[in-house]
Amino acid sequence: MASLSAFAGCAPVVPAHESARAVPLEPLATLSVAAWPGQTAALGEALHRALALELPEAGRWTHANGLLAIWMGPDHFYLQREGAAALLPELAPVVGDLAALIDLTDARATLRLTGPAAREILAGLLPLDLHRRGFAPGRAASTIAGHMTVQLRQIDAAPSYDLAVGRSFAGSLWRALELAGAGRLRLG
Amino acid sequence: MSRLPAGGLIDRTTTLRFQFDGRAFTGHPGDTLASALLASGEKLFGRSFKYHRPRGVLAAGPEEPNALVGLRTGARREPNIPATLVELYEGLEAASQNRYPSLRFDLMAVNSLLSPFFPAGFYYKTFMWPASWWEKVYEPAIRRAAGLGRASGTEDPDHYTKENLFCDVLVIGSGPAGLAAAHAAGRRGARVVLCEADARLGGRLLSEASEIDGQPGAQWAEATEAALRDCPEVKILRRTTVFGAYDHGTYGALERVADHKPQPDDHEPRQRYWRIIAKRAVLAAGAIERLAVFGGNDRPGVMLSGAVRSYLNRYAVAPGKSAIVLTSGDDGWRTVADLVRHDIKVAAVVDRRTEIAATHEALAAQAGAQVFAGGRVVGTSGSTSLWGVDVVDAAGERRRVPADLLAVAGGWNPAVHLASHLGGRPVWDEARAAFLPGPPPPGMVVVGAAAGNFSTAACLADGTGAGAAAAEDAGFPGVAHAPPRSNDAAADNAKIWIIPGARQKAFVDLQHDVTDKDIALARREGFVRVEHMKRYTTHGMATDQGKSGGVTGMAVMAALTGQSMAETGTTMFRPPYTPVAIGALAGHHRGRDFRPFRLTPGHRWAEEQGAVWIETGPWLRAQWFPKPAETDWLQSVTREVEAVRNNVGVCDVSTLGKIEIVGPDAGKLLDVLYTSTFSTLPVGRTRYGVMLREDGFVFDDGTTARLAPDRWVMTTTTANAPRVLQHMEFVHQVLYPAWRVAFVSVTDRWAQFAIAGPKSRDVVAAVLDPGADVSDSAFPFMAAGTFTSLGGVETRLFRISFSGERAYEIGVPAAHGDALVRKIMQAGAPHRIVPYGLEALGVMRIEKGHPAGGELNGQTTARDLGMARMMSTKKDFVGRALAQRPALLDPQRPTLVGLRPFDRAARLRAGGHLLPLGAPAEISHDQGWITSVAFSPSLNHWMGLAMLANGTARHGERVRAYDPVRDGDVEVEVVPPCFIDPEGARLRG
Repeated sequence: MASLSAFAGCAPVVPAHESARAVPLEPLATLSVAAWPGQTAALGEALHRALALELPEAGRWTHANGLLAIWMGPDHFYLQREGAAALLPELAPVVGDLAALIDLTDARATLRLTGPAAREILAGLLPLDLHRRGFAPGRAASTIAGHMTVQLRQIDAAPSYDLAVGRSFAGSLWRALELAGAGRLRLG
Repeated sequence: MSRLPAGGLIDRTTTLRFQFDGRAFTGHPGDTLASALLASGEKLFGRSFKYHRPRGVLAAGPEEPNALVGLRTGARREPNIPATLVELYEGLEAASQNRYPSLRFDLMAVNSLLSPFFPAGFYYKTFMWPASWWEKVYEPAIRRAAGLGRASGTEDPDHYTKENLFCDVLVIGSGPAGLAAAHAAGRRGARVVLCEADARLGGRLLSEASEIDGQPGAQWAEATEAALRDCPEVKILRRTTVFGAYDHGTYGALERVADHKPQPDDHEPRQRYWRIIAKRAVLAAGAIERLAVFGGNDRPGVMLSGAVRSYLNRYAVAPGKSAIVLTSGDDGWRTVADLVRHDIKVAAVVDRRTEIAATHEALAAQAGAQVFAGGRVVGTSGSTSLWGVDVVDAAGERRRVPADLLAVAGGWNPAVHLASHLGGRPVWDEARAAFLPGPPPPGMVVVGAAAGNFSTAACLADGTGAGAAAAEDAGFPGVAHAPPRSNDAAADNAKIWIIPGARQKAFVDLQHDVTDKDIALARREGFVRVEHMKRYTTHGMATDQGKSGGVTGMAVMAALTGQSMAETGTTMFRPPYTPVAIGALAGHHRGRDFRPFRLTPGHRWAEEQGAVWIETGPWLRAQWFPKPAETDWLQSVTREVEAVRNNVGVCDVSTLGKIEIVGPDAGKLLDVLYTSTFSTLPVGRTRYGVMLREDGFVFDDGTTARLAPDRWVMTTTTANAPRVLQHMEFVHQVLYPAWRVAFVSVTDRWAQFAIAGPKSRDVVAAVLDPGADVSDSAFPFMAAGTFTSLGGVETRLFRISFSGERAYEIGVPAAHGDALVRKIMQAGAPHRIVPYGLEALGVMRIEKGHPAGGELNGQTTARDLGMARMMSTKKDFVGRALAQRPALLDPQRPTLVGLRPFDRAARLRAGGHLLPLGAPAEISHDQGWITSVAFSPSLNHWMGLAMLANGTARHGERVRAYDPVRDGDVEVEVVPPCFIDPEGARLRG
């Protein structure tokens, strides 16, 4: 079962003065969970009962027991877990008839960007206000970066961010970060 | 030398060497190119646009219309840069423009003598005939003679970046008003961005002798800057021009990061384009001194009065040895005072007013200056510099007063530009003799001189109040602080506009060489409205956008028509405030980085196979895989097609859109989306479907498989994948929100390969993990199922065919795509499997008559494409009603046919038009067009698909394929669109 990283073709970048670093995160099992009309609260209760996982409010993400939940839109969430083990068979009995489950493992490529310059680098990439007054750990957003749809999550106050794009865009995200972080970002 | 012995905001301890037109000069840090050249005694900077007249320096800022230079050399050379904006650096190289062979001796200056023949509109009127000569002859010749500098013509070696910046309060300009506003907002904790176009904060404070809180203005500015740096949330952007105001508090700003250096440092952008999103904005852009129109007002040595003060006070440069000041208000007398203070002779003061205040008279007496109350300046004398000024006194007596500097104080125009970018029309204020900002963009407040409050005291009060209010609006309340105190009195605003009696050219727009006579001509010819006058004369349309002469031109027109300034009005302002390089707008998005690419999971493998790539939307797809001996693409493609038809081939089809649809109502949704019924499809089966737009035309096609009772997977064309998903969201969210159905794009999740050819089943069987049954009884044509491969990896298999051969599409999660295709090649080796690309795929689909891009062009209906029977009459679907429109049912509509050349050796070309045989090639005989062509290796001749009027009924007929663009004129035979295996025996095996 030899798998190939979405970033396999991307050459590492070593800057002169490193003040941020981005590394690929993989593999990540990913599941799209769309609650049926009117069932979001029940879905939240079911997940909380079985996994102690709170569903996030709009624009946020939550985690419990190694499982992440990311708000993607009204009544729509992504659940993620590190590792290749599929989430769908595990979650299907928990979710039951409350939501639609679609496996999105391998559909996205994710980089974790961390370091003091991370915010400044993202200012050259995303049209989002990431000032600590408005965007803190626990926040998530879907936005545009260099003509790519990007999901952004703030992990910690370092600050660290996860940037996820469609897997086929991995090389272009890498390149966009290389350009935005020129001279200060270590890639890979 | 004209450098003053002391003073100025320059660093005299450091000397910078630079070149202008190949000659060596020196200056100091703090100088601009203009101030350093003036300090070296240079007066002549360039030649004018149309008449090639000698020009010097008029201004000290971005309004400079004359002193435009070409800066730097080689690939970094850039034209039309105002010398007043160029910060001096060691080794700077600049060249004057629009002169031949040299600046001092310019052959094209003959244009000035011919000027009676070059009035406004001259080119339009003269070079009208023959019309075809305009682009080929006239325009190139005129462009050579006129115009300004030239770009380098080579690729820009520097890079540019774009960044987003969010703030509570954006302050535009750092004069007294801007600094006060930024400080008032910043000390409350608001996120403040202060943008200053100059390298140094302070605005006019750097150029004036005024004092604030008992210290010189420049010193107060420095102290305030230090205070701002102590506010944690204040960001100061120097060398940054806010060039545009846009919707919802968005502003565009250009930071000249490395323009003041020979070249950027490592990883440093040359310029940065800031997209600023501000909750509130304070426009403190100041005011721009305006041109006065009189004879010879363009001669080097004629300078705006405020610019004279800038050169004296900021740059410690004496712009002349003997000065005359022309004014009609108190502001000109400030220049007199500064000249006197710096020991420069003031020969005369011409004040348009007949009564002069006693303090001014005393100043003139102290300076030994002759005062012409109620006098006029009617001409200037000299050649490439000013020697004397022709003055007419109140009694009407004319005399020439020797002088090498004429300072003109004709009043100030508030810099209202950004306030009007969203449509707020400036309003004339007679008392302040200026256009003041109309309704500004939401969230913006205009303060200080930009609002017509010209005194420093008013600027400080204005700024302090507006900064505090803006912060409060953005959620930062606090105590009010008293504004700083300044020593200056209330300021009036002079107006001279135009002085009658000129015998020389009197310019209204110096950069475009527009004179008062051109405006008079515009009026005579009916271009009276200022918007018309502007376009007819090109007044205000040069790179300076009429910053100095714009309003003056309106006043000249007002004088001609006898209307008031309020009635005459002003033209509107649009971004950018000052020119912005296209490179800065593009940022990193150039060349290969123009837009992102999408790569399939099999990309690396295909690259190893020598794939020739083609861009299809954002995707890179393999076009064909040339073998070493092959020299022509058709050779490779033909080999690939033959391999698929005879043995087996593999093609990466991961780019096709894939949408997974889940839920009990998924079948109902598919029935609405597709023309045919899908809800009855059994689990484990696939069906081909066509979707229409609401207007009844074909939108997209593809297959959808049912993997489980409530789980389906749809494929779309590569190009339409995002739009199909969007369409589905609309249908679900708007038309049927209560249905329990959910879907997401899984295009990126699955690496998918088509394995096609008579041997494909053997290959598939060898790729799947042992135990899979893909016999025709277990897995027939149009079957779909889930298996494993590569030792337990989830695998989706579909028996569908685009080539007309027995074929399968096999998909695995993308991380395993590379391993899968290598496994396929290994399993196919005994059957001599080949990879095939998009071209071979295209050849085979044309051989089979499957419609694709050329046929699904948004103008064809299902009927047109021969799919009328797929339009269900038992259910509703998107596009059903409008597809029944009579015009769409017209039998004369072009319908899909096949074509083959009557002379089998002839080549067909897509795009050719179809005409009846013998009919002349006229549009009235046009019966259709060729949509796709290919050379068929199976038939050994070219073939095509076409849309032909009433085509289905015309099989067997011959028509003419006429292609005037590529000299094609071929007789073709109309045939059914499927060229190979019309019964479909091969794909069922």
